[in-house]
Amino acid sequence: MPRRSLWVYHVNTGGCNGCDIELLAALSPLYDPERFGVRLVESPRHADAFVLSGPVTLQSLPSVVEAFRVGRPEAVIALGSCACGGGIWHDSAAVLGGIDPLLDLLEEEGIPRPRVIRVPGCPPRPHSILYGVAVLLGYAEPKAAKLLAEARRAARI
Amino acid sequence: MVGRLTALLAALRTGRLTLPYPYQPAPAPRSYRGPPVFLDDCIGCGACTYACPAGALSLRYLAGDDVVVLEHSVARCIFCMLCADVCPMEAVRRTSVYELATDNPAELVQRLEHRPAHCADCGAAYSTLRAVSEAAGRVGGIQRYMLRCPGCRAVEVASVIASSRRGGGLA
Repeated sequence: MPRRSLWVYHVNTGGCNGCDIELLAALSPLYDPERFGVRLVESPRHADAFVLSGPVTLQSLPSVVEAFRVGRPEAVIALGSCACGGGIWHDSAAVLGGIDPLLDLLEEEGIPRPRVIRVPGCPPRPHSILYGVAVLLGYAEPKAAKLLAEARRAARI
Repeated sequence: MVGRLTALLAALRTGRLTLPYPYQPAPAPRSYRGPPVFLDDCIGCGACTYACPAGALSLRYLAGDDVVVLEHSVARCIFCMLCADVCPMEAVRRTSVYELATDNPAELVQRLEHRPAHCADCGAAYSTLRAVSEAAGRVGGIQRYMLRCPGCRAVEVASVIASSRRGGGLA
């Protein structure tokens, strides 16, 4: 990912709005991702990256596929447990179940597989979202496994 | 014009609010609920896999039933800590980790390996050795049933009932 202004388009694929509220909080001046050039845009055609929240319900699927078809994002930030792996809807008949089945489906449609940044949390903190953006832009390294191992060592005492 | 001046003055009075977060660490508040971690006290009983509403936890029998793995998908976890509530060994601990964003899904999986217990009759793996010995220590006296897999256990119970003189009772 080149270090330049990252314009993001927000796709809510049938989420509960928890992640969307945290995303709006993360876009506020307190966290100010515009320092990195992150801007929310209104059309998928303007976007470099998509922020995808929700478990991809079948109801929203046609619009989501259309957004990816016209947008062709370079990267996708999967926001929250639902987008990362289905969350509590993982066994529901009405959802596709997160970013992985969606990307498989898009690949069948001939849309190239974008880079995926997963931001787990239900919902993720604004800090977590900011960290995801930093990872995407190369300002920070992913360190989830290291942090979890450290927390495990600390909890054992 | 006056309105803009007032706004400018207000902005100057307030100063800079933006947090220096990605450049400086920001510890999560004490009340923040992050993902759980699983300590070595875990016996692999699988109670958490039933309690987990997101299905983030699973017990898997791998390598031809030679190893049982408790797998936790941080990506799917909703940090509800129901696993910590049901854990009989208090081996699940809350953390306040939040910098979990990653492009590598393998980083978001926690694994804990256990040795499986094999059924005394059919030899199939049905639980972990530590879970069985822990349960035997807590309940005691019914090892005849405990060392068998659920299927063989039912057969054993049925045969005991059938062979008893009165046609009932488990003793």
